[in-house]
Amino acid sequence: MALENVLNEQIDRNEKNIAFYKSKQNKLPKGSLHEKVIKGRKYYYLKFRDDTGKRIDQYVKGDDVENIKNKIQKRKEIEKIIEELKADIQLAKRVLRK
Amino acid sequence: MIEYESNLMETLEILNENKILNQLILIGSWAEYLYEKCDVISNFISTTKTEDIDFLLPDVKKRMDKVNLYEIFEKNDYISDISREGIVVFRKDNFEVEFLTRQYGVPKSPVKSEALGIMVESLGDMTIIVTNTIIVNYYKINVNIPDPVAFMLHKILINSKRGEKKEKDKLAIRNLMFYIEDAEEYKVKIMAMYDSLTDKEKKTVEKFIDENNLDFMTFK
Repeated sequence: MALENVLNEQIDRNEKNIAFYKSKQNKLPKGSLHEKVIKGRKYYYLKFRDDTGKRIDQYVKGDDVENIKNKIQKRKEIEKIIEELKADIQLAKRVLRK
Repeated sequence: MIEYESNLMETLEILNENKILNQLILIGSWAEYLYEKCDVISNFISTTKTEDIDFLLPDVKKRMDKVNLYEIFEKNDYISDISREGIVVFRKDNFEVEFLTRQYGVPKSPVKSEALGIMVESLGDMTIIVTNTIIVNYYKINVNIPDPVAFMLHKILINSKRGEKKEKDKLAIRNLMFYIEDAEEYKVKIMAMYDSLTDKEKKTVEKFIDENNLDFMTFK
């Protein structure tokens, strides 16, 4: 019973944490940054799929490149945390089923 | 209150009744848990799992009223275990209570705490915690815990020495970072505490930040 309570509490905590991270993730750009060289000059595009699945190539101004790179990195970091939290939930659920 | 939380509560009550709690700092993942329970960080959810309870005695040589921890804990049905190195752990059911102290100079572990009447493990890299504590009121008991930024920096400083606990600690660090990154109050604290580190410690922090792609935080 004690272990069951601990695991249920852990699942609940992780679910709340996932909700927090998803809200953070939604505020960050998805996709990846690509460089194109046109007539010797570098241009940057953010490639991603929108909600309908359509592929978008969005031009990114030179001044914003570093900022966008950091945000993409941050989004990846958050995805990793969400995966870890989900794996933790699955593990707890498996133990609870035994 | 969930069952394993009641273990913490009982331990805090015992130490508080015996007037030692105010001399100690609750460290480790239970401190992280209190950031959540005592609303130290807005909406924070810790990554804590059931953990043993660790207390830090900031200065093992500081004069304070003597207590007999063996007697105090055994009276409350705890069993004391002494390791080969002489370090004492108090056990009850499935959890442990341990006392640590800050290491001064060359590593020499364990050391005798005359005030607590036991041998305690001495650990390095504790200055950031000892010099940056906050007091939280947990179910009407005042508890000293590390400031969240100090907690995070300390975890970064010791990460390479944490062995199998490394990854779990990294998750706790990233989790704290994400919760405090938007709060101006914490940005100021991060800068101030980072500046207070030694050059060697600053290099350790920067290396960790780079290796873990956490460069979105302003540490420099």
